[in-house]
Amino acid sequence: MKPKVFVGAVSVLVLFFAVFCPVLRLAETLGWVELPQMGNLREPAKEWGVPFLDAAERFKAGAEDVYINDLPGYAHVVTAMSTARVDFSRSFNALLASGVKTEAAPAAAEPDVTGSAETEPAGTTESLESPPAQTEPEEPAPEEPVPEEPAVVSWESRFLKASGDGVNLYAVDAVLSDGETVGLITSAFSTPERVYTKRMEKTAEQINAIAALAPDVKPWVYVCSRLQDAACFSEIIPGEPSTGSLVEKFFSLLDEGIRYDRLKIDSLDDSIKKLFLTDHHWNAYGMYEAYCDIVTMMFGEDAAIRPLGVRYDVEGADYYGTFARTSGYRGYHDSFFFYDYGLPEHELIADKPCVFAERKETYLAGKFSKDISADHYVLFYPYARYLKYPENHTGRVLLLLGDSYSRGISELLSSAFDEAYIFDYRRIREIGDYRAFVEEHGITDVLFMQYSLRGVFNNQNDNTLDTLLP
Amino acid sequence: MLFSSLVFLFLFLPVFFLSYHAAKKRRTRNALLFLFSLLFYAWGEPVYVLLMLLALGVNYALALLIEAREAGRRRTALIGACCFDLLLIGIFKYAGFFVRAVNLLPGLDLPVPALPLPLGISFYTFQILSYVVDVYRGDVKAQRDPVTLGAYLCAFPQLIAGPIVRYRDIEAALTDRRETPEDTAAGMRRFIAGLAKKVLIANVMAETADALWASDPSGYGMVGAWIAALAYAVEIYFDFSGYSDMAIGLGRMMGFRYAENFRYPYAARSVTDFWRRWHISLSSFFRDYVYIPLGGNRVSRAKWVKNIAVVWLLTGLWHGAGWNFVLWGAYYGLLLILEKLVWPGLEKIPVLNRLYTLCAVLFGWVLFRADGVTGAGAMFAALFGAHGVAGTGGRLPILLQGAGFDLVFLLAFAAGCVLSAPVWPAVKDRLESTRSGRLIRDAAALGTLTACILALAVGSYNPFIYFQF
Repeated sequence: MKPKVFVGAVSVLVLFFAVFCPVLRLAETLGWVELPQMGNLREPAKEWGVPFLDAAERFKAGAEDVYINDLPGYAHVVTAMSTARVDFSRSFNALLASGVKTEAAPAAAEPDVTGSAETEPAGTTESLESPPAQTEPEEPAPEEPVPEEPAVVSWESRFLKASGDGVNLYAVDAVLSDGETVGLITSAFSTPERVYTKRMEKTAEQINAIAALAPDVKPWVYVCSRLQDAACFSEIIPGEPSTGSLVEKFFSLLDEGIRYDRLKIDSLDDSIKKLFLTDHHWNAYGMYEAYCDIVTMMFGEDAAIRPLGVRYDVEGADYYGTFARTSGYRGYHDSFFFYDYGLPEHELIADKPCVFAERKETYLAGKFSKDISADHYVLFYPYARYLKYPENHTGRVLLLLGDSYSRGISELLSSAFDEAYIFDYRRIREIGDYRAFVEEHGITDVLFMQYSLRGVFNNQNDNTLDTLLP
Repeated sequence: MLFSSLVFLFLFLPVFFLSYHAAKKRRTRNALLFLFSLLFYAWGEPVYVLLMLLALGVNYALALLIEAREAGRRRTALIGACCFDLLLIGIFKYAGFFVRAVNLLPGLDLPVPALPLPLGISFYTFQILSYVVDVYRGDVKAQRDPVTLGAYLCAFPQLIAGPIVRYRDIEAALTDRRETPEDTAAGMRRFIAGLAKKVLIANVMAETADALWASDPSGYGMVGAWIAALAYAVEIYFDFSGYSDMAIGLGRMMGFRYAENFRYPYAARSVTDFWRRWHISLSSFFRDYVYIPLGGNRVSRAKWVKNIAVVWLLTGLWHGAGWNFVLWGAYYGLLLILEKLVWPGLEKIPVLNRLYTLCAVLFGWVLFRADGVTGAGAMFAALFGAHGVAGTGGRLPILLQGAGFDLVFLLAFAAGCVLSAPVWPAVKDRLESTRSGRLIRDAAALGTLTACILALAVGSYNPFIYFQF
């Protein structure tokens, strides 16, 4: 190749990207194109407190943002290459001992983990109001025996990626009894145990202190479990310890009178059934089971529980959840589904206007984002702040201190109450004076309900619950 | 700003070269080089760019004084320049280290200054020091145009990570050079080769090395320790030599011919030979400005040993303000003395000479990379089996996987081993001897550049895991 031709070729290649990226950003700003949001944030590296220097830092961050996130096909390149690297090394990783094929132990009876200091439902001075009774839908008598759900018989796991914030991501291929294989991604702490043990103890202290601030408000704790909280986790991911005993220890540190429960994730089967395969959130079935647990815990064993709603599987909504997006591995995905519970009319204040019927129609009509980074959990479920069921007369008003798990369950769970105030940990400061808030709004119950990584282990180490304490 | 960043490749470089080639006059091009170099430096150091300009201004003035004055005043100006430059690097790089060392004395507890280390200060102070000394020696004439001197000192290709360019090597090119298509093409190929070394080999090694070096060696034992040491050895060579290649390539694109900084150091037959091949610009600096003025090897044996000790302690300190760096320098000083005095014939023994050199260099890297002397001790203990073959706790597979130890790592490591040997010159000569060979060479360069862009894109992906949490 003549020197000038080579120079020209390299120059064209570089200039193509030099021009294309800002043009793509302009097109995105003007709304002409929509690019997958990969969560690859670029923030100014430093705050100088000097306008000129701060402007320079913003320019730098902006330039990096444009020349990284607006590279043509960035999302596809990243995911394709990340997936290719994982798949390319699959046999090698299996050789490295983490790919040990493990046979599942015979299923044991599910342990009863609902607990509190008392064995009877809490509260002797006030009878528990049941949630509104629901007419049970008529179920046709089964003509044939209900087929047993396929169970996991063996699995292989392999490392995917260290997330960089103290969490390792693993891929697990589970073989079911019907011969099918289910692939999922799960997470494990890579932070030293002594660090998150201390944080767990502090979280328990904070909850106890908040509960003590308003003795008339019944405190409840519900932990949205991860697979690592299962006792058998180190069999699933050899070398990674289970955090189940620490969750139990957390419960034991709660004051007497604080009732608690957790989502039962005690096996791979539970994880497959109740959690997304590629995301850290619960799926629609997991949300329902949590609703059942919480209502039973808060209203007693005789509480009227809504039956499982009508399931809708959304065709074409291939969901690559948080774990898939973070690891870049696209070998697995979820098929998004939701339930329609036929909830009564209710008032919902959320981050965006959204009525369930409209969301349902939108999704079933296929009018949802098809890009590979579409977070259907976030897109479908609203970020609720307040709910009111005018037809309910339970006398119970809920304050839910939660996180993104609240999204999925808030409408269903709130249907057991007259009203519900929902605060994600990012908005918890808006409560202001906790005692004044609960008094002003007539709160009868406060539910601490978060993902175990945050709600028990405070993995961000930001101690947001401290903002409620005087 | 790093050379191996997408912003540098797609924003800085195109804007610079378009402006550079749009200018017709040499002085304008030098001014643009100076200006863009300041912008390049300010991207990472928006405040300390003023410090670099101060160093430029002081040395510019003192160099003119050196040239203009009679012998006594010339010497004073030289001493002034040396004191200023060494004080600059002394304050910002070594103040904390010296105070901590002094505090070891009983009864002393001085406050330890914690000044941030300005980027590239070790390189540009040595570069400007070599300039004023060369002016004093009469090897070069003092540059009267501050813009031209600024273009020399601050030239972005070699500003942050060398090579340490001698003014005399590019004095003529500063005012009279041609940017030919042949040089531009050769420069581009050299830049691409350096980028590939950095992105496709060094960065892959770094992922594993960083993760293992950050962990307790007792967790991964001998296997993990050797992987950590070997990964780092490959990483540092390809990172540093890759950066030098990029600097040399960029210089060539502007008509500058920078001297080579690496010459297949892992093919060395002795530690003495190694240091003739590794970071050549630094070792030649110490040779010309410290070792030879002290008398070099034309002195008594005792004085020669002292000269070696001084040079190598300074070399160690130049690399970092820490006792492990001092130890590292002393280690090499000792090996050089032993090679000269005790086993001078070792270089000639085949196989054993290379094995010894590789081991000596590898152990040197352990001292260099470790987090202090204690960290080095811990790693050496692991290397020699203090924690067993696979460490304690049965976590070796997890730790290795978490460190990115996979087939991609092994491929990059294998490529690193092959390319560490002087095979490429022969291949290059063969390719360049025929038209089809040159076509293959250029096509491979374009393909490599594309691969680097893809790797940089993937490497830039670092989402906050729970951004919707």
